[in-house]
Amino acid sequence: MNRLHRAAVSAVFGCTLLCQAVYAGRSCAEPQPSKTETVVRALSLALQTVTVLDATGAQVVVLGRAGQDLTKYGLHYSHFGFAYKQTDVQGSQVWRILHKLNQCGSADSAIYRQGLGHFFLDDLWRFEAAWVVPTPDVQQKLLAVLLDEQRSVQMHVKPYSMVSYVWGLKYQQSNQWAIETMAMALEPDMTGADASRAKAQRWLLSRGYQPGVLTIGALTRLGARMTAANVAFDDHPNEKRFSDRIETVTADSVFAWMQRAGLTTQAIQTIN
Amino acid sequence: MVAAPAALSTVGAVLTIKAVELSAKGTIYVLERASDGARVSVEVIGKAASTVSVVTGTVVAVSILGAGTVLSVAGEVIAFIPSAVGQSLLYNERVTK
Repeated sequence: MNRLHRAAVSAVFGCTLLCQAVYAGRSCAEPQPSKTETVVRALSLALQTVTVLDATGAQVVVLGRAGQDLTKYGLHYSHFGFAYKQTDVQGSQVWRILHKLNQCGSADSAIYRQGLGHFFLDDLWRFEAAWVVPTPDVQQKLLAVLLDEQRSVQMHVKPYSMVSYVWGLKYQQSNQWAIETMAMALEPDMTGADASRAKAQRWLLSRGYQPGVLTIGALTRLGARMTAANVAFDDHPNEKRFSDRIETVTADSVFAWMQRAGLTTQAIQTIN
Repeated sequence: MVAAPAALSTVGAVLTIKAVELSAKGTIYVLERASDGARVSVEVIGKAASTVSVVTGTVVAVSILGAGTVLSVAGEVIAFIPSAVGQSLLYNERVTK
């Protein structure tokens, strides 16, 4: 005799939960079906990453992914956020990542808290993870901010450009929010309501942060500006923009700077 | 945490859709394992974006991961049943407006 089981409703998810509603800089007007291979590889990468992060003993890591092919700009990782350990509603310790995402190719953005499964389900170019384990002191300061609902989003502004100027305030791309939040956590004068993006940027400059430099010609800039709401160049100084020099915060440059600035004593770790 | 039913826990299992029913929350698929006729009912919450047709007689592939069980048709996911550890990977909260 056949036996009928009923799987628990709460344990079964369809595409509405597996398909991402937002992407880091890409259009998502139509929900896309989830390809089996993509879901299997993304969830396997997430689980592998959790296992390795648990083994580090860290409470906070700076975690990156390769969401887009940026090799023509000499970049490997497109996006990063802060992965940290948090107690969930069941009282278990879980990894969550706080990061900033673009709203479906629009000129707006928002901060999201996600599990690592959702983080890696975001239509990756390569199924790779990279992370830096900050020093214990840096972890402690970052964790205090990440667990504070108000401070964790204090540096966030909605206007978004994928290539926002590193020392500008008009727009803010995802990696820029993250490094400015790191500055707020580490700069002693940024503990109160007077913390600002301008102060964060001054601190980053004083600590030797050097942005990624993308060479983007005039025709490419014009085409991107006309076809994508989430790309703008008008915040870049004219002398740099018209010499095709676009300076913006990249995951690769942040990983390298953290080592130079002594915010980590370990090499970049990867899973690929 | 509820584990995936035994009929969905066998690597390489071949399942066939025996019935498709709409529910208040989404869609219920009644699946039958080819090897022994065991049946399982899976309710998929929400509206799928899948482009494949899932009707009676459709063959469903089962992928077993550490994170859970993936049910798919023609290379597209129709459902994911997370394991206990897989459940912790899935969380999505918009923090700012």
